[in-house]
Amino acid sequence: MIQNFLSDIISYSFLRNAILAAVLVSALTGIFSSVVVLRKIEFIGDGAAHATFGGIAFGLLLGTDYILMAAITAVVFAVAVSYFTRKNKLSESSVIGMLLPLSMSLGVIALSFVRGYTPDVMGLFFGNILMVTSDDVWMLLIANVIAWVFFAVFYRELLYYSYDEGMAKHYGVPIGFIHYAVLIGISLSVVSSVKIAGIILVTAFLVIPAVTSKTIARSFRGMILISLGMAVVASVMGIFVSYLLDMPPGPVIVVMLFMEFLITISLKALIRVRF
Amino acid sequence: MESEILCVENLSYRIGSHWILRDVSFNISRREFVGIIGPNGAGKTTLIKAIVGDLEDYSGKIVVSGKIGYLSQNPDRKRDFPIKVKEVAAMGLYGDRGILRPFRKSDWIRVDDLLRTVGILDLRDRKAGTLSGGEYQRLMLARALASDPELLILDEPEAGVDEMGKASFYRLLESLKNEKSIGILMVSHDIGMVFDACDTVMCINKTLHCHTDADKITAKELQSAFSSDLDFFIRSRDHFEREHHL
Repeated sequence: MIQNFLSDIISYSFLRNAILAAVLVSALTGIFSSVVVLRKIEFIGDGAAHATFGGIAFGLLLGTDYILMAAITAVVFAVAVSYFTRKNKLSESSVIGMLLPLSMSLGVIALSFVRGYTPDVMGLFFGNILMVTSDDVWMLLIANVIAWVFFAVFYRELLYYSYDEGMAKHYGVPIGFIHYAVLIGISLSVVSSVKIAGIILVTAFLVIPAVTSKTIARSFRGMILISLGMAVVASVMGIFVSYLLDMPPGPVIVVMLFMEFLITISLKALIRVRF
Repeated sequence: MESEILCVENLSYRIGSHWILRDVSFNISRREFVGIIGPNGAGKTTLIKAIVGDLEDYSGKIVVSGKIGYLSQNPDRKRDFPIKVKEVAAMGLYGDRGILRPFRKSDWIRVDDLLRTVGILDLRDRKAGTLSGGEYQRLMLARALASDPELLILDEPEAGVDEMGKASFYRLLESLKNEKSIGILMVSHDIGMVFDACDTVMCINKTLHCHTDADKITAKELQSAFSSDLDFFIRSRDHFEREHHL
């Protein structure tokens, strides 16, 4: 079983790409998930993903590279959210709650004008492993390196920004820069995750790993690393199970992430009862 | 006067046509422990924010000669946030280091000194969210002291702290004032404790009604600041005096 899986990974480049992409997507969203959960902006993934949909639809309508369009709209979305929350003192959830259906609506309107062949929309919603190319894997690798360097260099700033924005600002932490960088980073990681996770499921990748790790982590660093571990393990298991049972990998990975959460809180409760 | 650490002159602030503060002027000197009292909505927190630099568009002049340590009102505890006590205290040193310049060993030694000063060194590696109200308040104080301030500003530090915790917290402030010869400005609703712990008391209600020695404030001055709430405060002060002087 495992031998077959391994030999197929060696023989079929699409499977190799898929598993590499899944691991890289999990690592990328896993690292951002800690900030998402600690800042309580779980909604941002959903928002960015739906903005991505709008971008893809316009890309199709204009006949340009739709992933590029998706990246542009996701960044515009992130900047708009940051701008409105900072200038007008609206909550992030309110702003995302307005912009999410707006970009989705614009996307649907744009799609209605697209004549003839439209690529697999369902694939965009739930992820389609067959869409992953080796270029995507390279792009994800670069995105991972950038995200990791960002987290390593600005660890303290990210910690204080997540913990107490007001006092962090008082002590001179460059809150504006961190805020924009984080939201743009999250949006771009959403765009790069769409082929694996899909627009609808990508939120799970940005939320569940950190929710799980938050229950056991004692430090911010620990939380980031545990989230990363949880996400990578779930994606490898998810790809394997979906290969074995012939199921779509994106949803299976989400189920795996949730099972990790259940196992973690159960073990935690058991240990507490024992000792 | 050389020992003056804070001068506020004709400070006014309004939102639309609504005055929050009007023509407030006072000075605070080193080794002076000032309690600010006044009813809700009297502009106490606005005054603090103007002094620490979190408020724009006010008129008047604020001159601070030295650094300020600041304890904000009701900090959000975030009990399940994975941050260690020492990391919270080190936040106060961020300004000295700045972006792209990580904390050094000397900074962590300084953090230990601060935690020792406020009496929670043994909790340094605990998750900050697991601290009690009193311990957390001391952690906030350690963070505020990190920059070696000449003026310490506290906005209702007693929230969520029990009576015993409050008494020892005020004793700690008193000893800090004497040892480091700093000025302390504290907003509080705990009138009894303010009269007990502070050297001078300021009554604020939009304007400054009095700023005088704690034991020289008259009922009339309190009345002018508190109007309808006066009865309660007079009684609480009487009660306090009966308890301590008889």
